[in-house]
Amino acid sequence: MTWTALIWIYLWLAGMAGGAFLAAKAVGRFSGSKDDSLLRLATWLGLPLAILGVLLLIFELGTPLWFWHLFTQFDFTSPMSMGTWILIVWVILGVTMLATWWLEGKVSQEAAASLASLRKLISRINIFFSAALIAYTGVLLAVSSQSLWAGTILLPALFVVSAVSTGVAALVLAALGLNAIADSGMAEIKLAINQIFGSTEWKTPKEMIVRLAEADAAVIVLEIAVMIGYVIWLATSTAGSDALGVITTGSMAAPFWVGVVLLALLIPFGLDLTIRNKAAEAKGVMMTIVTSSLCVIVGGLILRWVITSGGQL
Amino acid sequence: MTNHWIDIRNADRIMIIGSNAAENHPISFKWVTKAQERGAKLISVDPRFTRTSSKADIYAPMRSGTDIAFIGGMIRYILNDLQQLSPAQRATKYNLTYITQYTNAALIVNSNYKGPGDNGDGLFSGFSASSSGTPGRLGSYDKSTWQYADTNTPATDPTLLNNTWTDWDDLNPKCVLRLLWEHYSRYTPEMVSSITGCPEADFLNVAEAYAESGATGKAGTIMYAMGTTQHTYGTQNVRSYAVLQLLLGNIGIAGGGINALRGTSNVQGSTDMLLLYHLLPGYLYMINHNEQTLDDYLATARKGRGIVTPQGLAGDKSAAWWWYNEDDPNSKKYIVSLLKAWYGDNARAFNDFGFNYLPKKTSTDDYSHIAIFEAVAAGIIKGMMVWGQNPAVGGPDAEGERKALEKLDWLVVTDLFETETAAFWKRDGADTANIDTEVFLLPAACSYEKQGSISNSGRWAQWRYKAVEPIGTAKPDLAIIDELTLKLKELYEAEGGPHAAAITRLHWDYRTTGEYANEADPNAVAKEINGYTWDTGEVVTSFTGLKSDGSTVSGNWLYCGMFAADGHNKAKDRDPVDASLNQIGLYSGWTWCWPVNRRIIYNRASVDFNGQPWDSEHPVIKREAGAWLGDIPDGPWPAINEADTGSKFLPFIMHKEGVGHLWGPGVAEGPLPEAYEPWESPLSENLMTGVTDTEAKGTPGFNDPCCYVGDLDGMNQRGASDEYPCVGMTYRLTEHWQAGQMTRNLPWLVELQPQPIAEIGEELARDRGIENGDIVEVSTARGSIQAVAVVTKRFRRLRIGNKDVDQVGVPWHWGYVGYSTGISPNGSSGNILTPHVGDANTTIPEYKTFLCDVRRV
Amino acid sequence: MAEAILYDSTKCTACRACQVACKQWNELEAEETTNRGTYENPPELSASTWNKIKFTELELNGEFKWIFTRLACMHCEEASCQNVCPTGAISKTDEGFVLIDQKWCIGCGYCVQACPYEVPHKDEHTGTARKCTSCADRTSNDLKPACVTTCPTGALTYGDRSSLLSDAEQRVAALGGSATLYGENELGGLHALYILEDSPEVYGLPAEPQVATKNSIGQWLSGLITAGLITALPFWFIFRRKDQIAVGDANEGGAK
Repeated sequence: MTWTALIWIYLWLAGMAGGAFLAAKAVGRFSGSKDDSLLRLATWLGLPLAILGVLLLIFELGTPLWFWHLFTQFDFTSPMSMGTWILIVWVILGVTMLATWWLEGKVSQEAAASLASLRKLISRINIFFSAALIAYTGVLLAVSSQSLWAGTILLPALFVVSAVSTGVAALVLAALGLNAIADSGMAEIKLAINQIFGSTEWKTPKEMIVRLAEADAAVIVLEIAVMIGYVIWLATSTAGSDALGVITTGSMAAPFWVGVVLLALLIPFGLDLTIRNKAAEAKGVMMTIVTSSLCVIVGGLILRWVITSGGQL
Repeated sequence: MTNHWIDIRNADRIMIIGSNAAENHPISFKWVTKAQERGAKLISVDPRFTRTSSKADIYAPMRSGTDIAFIGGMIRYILNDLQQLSPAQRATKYNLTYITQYTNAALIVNSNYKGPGDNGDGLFSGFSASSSGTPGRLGSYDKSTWQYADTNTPATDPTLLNNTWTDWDDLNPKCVLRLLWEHYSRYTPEMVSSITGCPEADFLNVAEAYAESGATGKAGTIMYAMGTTQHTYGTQNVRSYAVLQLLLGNIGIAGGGINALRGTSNVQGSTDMLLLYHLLPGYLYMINHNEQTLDDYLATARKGRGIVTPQGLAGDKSAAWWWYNEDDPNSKKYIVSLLKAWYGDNARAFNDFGFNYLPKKTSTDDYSHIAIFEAVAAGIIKGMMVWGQNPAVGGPDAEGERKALEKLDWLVVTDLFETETAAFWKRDGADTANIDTEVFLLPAACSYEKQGSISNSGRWAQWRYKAVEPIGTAKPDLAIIDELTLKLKELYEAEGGPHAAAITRLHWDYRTTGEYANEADPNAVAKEINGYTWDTGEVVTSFTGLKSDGSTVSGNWLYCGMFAADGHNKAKDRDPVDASLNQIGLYSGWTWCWPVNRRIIYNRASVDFNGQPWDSEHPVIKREAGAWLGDIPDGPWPAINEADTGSKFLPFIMHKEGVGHLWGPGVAEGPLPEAYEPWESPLSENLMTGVTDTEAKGTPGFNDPCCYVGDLDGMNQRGASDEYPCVGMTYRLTEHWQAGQMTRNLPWLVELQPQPIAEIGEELARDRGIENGDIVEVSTARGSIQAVAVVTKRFRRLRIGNKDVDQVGVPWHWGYVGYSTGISPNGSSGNILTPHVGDANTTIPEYKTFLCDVRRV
Repeated sequence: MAEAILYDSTKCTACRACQVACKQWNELEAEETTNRGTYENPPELSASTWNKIKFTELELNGEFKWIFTRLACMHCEEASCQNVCPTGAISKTDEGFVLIDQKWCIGCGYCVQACPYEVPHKDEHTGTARKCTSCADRTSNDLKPACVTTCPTGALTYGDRSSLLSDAEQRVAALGGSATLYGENELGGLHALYILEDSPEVYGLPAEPQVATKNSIGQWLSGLITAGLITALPFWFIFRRKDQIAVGDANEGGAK
């Protein structure tokens, strides 16, 4: 098998990074809040994930030391070339945004205001690059001759939805984690977070977390729809149904049904339903959200494993 | 080959039987393919559907070992056709002139002759069973009743010659064609199908398609190999092809012939040079013990071989039996030149040119491979040199032969790698403590590490040059034999010994200068083989220049002419221009072939009485303005119609009666091939002869009555069909070479065929619960091997008589030494399974048919 | 000038000299194989097997057949591998042969996934993707590819693509029946042409091979549009209620 675990972990990490950013940006947009600390969290969360992913990718190369050859080429027909550039731009924009947050507390108010508006501009540009990044994780596979990947045009859609789903789940877990730190007595860690965030305001309201969980449930609904479309589309062609057989009845059937259908889709959706109309403080809500988010994240990883490996069998 | 590789492209019908040419002679398919592109039909007759069959227009399955029944059926088809047609149609559909004038069809045979159908015992007249038991032959024939009625001037049947017959009864009851019919009329399509298992329709399809090559101007070729010869009646298998080809006028013509595809690149050369125990170089007869002088030898050679002149044919001279003519016989020129080559100045008239230095054999002794190993097993032979051969894998009943090696005092093995033979004492189950054999392994150079000539199947002697130096201490075989002989001479000179003069008087002087200052120069050997004048050293350019007075030297008269007058070796010529008539592909300037660079032998049969080719599109030779054009004709004499009465030479110059042998009175087990059962047969009654198998070691009339049955110190057991119901056979794969020493050590080839296989049909696999890829055990009365099962539709269950018979195929390449070894510790060579029995004439082992069983491991 | 290798399956006896010649000329390692109940080996093309013959037993029109197919790089005019290569390591020669520059390939494996014929493979030792080069090092020196040179039957020929095409057309016409010429127009025209006795599917060749990048725009749009929708719809649905959530309100536990 040419593309091994490093590739599907990379696709999962990059998707989560881009997905989290998009989700945070969407929350900001639709909630109308001027506060961009969720975006900051998403950026801080996404960058290390993306960079880790890139390192894995480089490690997967046959000649890792020659990875720089990638940057000598800008090729519209090669999704990997495009992905390389999308990723590099995404990382640069993200780092710039982090820098603005970090500097904000350290400069004059005027300068801080222009930093904020610069960040706003960059973050808007990065909506496109985030979308492109998560789309790329699917397009990379879909532009190929493997029927499971290229047999429909829904694989990028599926990976995009899953990326956002895992991105939201990652945001939720990160926010809950920070909240736990905030509520704890770990002063040094709090101080360190203050330093790197350039701010002391990094706790996420429980209400927001519940909303995010609800949003994830809505994303999962769409993900189920895309998955159904993907399966039906594949099943209608001979090559496609052979390829589909590998994941539905063949050697990848167990991880597909358990890891993808149950873990990534049905279980978190069901769990999220149980907290509907419950107060954020109600007993077990946060526990349910944590469980659901973990399911989504692990399920997202399994989805990429099943598809990446299954496509090469 | 009567013809040569390239000539296959001129055929209109190609029948490949007893050969898997596509796999074992891949290059032959260059020419088969070209013929097919011209519209030729390829017919594959084989027990298995092979890579050859995959390219065939017609495929016919058959039970292994039933060629004579199959070909006999084809002969019957043609004979029946000849009789059914009106005389006029007969002459259109077949080359009637060829059949009646160029073969012995019209000759009258001894009236006491009886065929196997006449007595009900499946035997020809004159048989007596052997009383000596095994090892040895089941029996032998007094051949006197098989001769022509008049042995010197045989009469012919004018009714046949004039084509005025309509019924068989119109012909003389003892004329060959009628006897042929009496014999082969029993080979009906139903009978053929019953014996061979080939469905009647498939058989008739083949018979009809191939018979079409009988029309004047059409050519059919038969390509055969070890599937034909490696049977107890292998010689008769070939004979059956000869009868068929003569009836169809296919010998001597372009695109015709009987073409033996030789098993290795230089089998032809080694045959020419004397590697057969009963011949000296150039097919001179081996000396018998009672021939105490050269004259005795020549007298025996001449005995019964006077000129025979058939009466009533257009041709009236067969003086082509020139070999043993009375005054200053050619045979004497050749043997004296040979002795002169070997003993030089020690070969003089006063000592019969060293005639008595040569070893002699008794007329009945058999020194074939099988008989040698019988002698080793019996403790008679004490030392052995095994040179480029690997009997521990390639010998019949191989485990028995390995065991026999344990009785040797010393064994010298010369090869590229350590072979199973050299390592026989290391094999699984060998009782090393009780083996006293001293083994020497001499590393040999491979063909690319030395120069010299090889003679290919088409008899072309081709010089090859050294590409790289040998590795390590490896040396060319010639250098090894040179060093060894000089050392032996030295030792015999110093110490003496029995018959020391045979060695000490050898003229052994092959070292020249430069590279060959210290080892034998193959160019010097080649020059000696060709021949030269002893005093001057000038080459002799034709065997007609050889002398019986000791003034010329020639190591092999057939190769005399390989050197041109200017002293250059024509085996090195590479003229790519085809100057033959109509460019039929003779390429006469590309190397040199014996005899006298004649590319198609018996080519005088390719023309009519006026010397005009039957096939004007593919003329081999052609008479024009009093001269022959094209190939070197089989003798310089003018065409029959141009010649004076008494000098009208018949076309088959190697036969004393000058015509082709439909009737072949010289073969051990009968003048016509008869369908006998293999030594191990799935039947208890021979369906053709009606004889039942009653004798433990083989029954004459059920089996070949003259076949050689070995004992191998009790190791050669004969299996019965109730215990071993399947018909087994061995063969080679494209990817491996012979006993595997050269290929099982090459990773690239091992990658292609990594493990021994046993091929079986789907029906048998189902019955035995065997899945494709399972490890199975194939066993015979002599041993068993393990292999990977290849379950395939290419093997079919056949209906033989009233029973179903399955066939099992195993390649024999594997052993227990090298990079790729067998699955069972014995090396999984197919020859663990084969019996120690041999052909009635040549004692070639029966590798191709035996009884076996197969089970899942 | 466009060159090509023509494979006439009707003349192939599956002797596999081409497989060995390829390994010898290109100095490729032997694979450790086992017999799997077939003559065919190695099981697949790989980084050290650039050329192999596939064996198929089947019945066609009621007649048993043992057919052979050559598997090696097709040297597509529209080469998927070249399209997806992110470093530009894959290029085409003037003759039309597709080469992977072993000094530039980073071994990302994308060409492996993109090839419609499963030809390139990543080499564990060199780390690069490798495949048949049509013996560019030979053909640029007026020699034929090793496989063609060694082929005993003339099943493989090499030369000017257009003249090979016309030879092949004649041969297919002469064969008649369901004989097919494969490679003339597939993927913009292949530089490995096939004469087949029957349809490409019988030989295991895709009848309508697609270039991997054929739906690139569609795939990108699928991803991007979905990204837009997925960001808009659920979040709009959940967060459209204007009840502001002030992050600061919850910060009483923060490290002020």
